[in-house]
Amino acid sequence: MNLDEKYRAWKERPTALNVPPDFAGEVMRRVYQEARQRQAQWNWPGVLEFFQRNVSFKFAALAVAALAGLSRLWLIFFAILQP
Amino acid sequence: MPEDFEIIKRVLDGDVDAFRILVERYQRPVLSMMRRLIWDSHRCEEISQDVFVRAFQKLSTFDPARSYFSTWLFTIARNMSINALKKKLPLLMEELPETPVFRNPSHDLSDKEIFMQLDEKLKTLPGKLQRAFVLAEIEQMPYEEIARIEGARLGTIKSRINRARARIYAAMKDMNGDIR
Repeated sequence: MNLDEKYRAWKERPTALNVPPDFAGEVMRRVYQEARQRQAQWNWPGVLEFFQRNVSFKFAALAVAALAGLSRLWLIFFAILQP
Repeated sequence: MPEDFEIIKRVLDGDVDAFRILVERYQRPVLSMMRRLIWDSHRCEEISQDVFVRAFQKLSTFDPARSYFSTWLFTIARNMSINALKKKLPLLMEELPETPVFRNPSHDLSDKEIFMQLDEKLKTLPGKLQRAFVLAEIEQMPYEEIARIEGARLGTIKSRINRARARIYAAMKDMNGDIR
């Protein structure tokens, strides 16, 4: 056997690559743990996205903003008119 | 069989179970690569698991327009293997002295002994050469993909593979008298 053949025999030799029986199971256990932790944490970009997408929330926010604006006006009127 | 990007979309939409398909699809090549870079079966299993967990954590940053999922996953594996070796060995792999090839002219070396000595030679190669060699020659990965994983130019990768191959051949020549 010459060097090339020996080299090929070495690099192409069948190696006992046994994937541990529960490798995927163990990875998934850690992945679920990670997913649970992620859910438990406040996801601020997600919250903002929800507000942006939710139409009824937009109307509610506008109503609150309008009420807040009116109250401020009432305060101004109250200050000017001094009933 | 669903494509990688379809599975990734499902995972990102909240179907965590779908990630198992990716794990089962890539566990063998990732473990195979790690076993030839870390050389410690217990440790390489741990690090391979870490690779998949990191991939899950960072999945939203994967851009299918920029690379294949396999390239992206092997890049994570490559970085984690480097970090693991740094933690294990305070010395840089590049600075390690080369292990002298055992030579005993009194008897012919069996294939098993030669393979073991070549494995030892591979272990002593500098990390960059070792990774390029393992990915190209053993994992049969295209050179372009290795270049993307290593973040190096194609010519650099070809040069690293050639240098690694030359060193392996030099080791074989040292043993030549013993090879039947």
